[in-house]
Amino acid sequence: MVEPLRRGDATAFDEVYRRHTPGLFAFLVRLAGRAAIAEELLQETWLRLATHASTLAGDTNLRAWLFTVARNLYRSHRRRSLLDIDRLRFWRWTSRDRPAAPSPHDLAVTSETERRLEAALASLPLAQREIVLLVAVEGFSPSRAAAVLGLRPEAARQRLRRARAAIGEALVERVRPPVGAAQGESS
Amino acid sequence: MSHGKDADEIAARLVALPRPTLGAAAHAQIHARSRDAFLASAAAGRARAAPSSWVRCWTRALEPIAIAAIVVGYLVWTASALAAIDWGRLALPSMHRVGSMAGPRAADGEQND
Repeated sequence: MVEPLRRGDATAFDEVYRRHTPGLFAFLVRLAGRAAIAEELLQETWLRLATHASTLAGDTNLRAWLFTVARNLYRSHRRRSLLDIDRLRFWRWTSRDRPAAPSPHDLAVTSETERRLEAALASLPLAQREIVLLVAVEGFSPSRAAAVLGLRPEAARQRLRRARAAIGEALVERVRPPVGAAQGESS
Repeated sequence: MSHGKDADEIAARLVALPRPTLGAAAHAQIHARSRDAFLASAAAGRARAAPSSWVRCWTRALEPIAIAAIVVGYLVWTASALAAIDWGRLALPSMHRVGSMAGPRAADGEQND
């Protein structure tokens, strides 16, 4: 599929877009936590492919390339946002205390188990969330995910183990009622 | 439940999570924009790769003519240069030189004796 893209074949571009958009969007929504940001980053990812298609190497793994670009774009966006939040805090005007409105995706996740799992996933540190999303959700092999994240394969496997353990712990904590609350109820 | 089983169960649940989906309007808009950018970039790439009319004219017509003219000119010049050489005069001085070298040695020998 890379060769027709390099030649500027629009049909090949349509096919690549159709095939990879659902996975990329899901990945970006779960990284960013907001559909609007994910849409913006998805647009930017496809524009990157549109302008760099002719320079792709013949043996490029297109899926890994797209996820690498999407992930890097999210990282850049996050850095910019953190700087903006710092500026807002400086002016003592921040929306941190306002309750966030549920996104359409939040509303769609109806099952309790799914909601808990999504919450556990969202509570992971970014580095762990990335690898879980790539390997466990998008089906990348750990070594391919390591290449996307710029890690050594062994480091990626270790990070994945930690992330899975963290999700397991988060799920158990959410199921188990708080100890203090239980005592309060009995007294 | 063992730790491995837990990990498998979590992995299975993660795979089964419903995917957030992109709205149809946003899908179409992103596709249209990126497709336009792709076509524009491909057209620009083709324009860069295509040779200019001067380059086409040079490679198809002028270059072979120029090479042929240079080769013919070189052959004509070489032939005229070779024709201008007086081969008879070139051969004689070498013969004289052999004779003149033999002369003094013979004279020396005569003196030593």
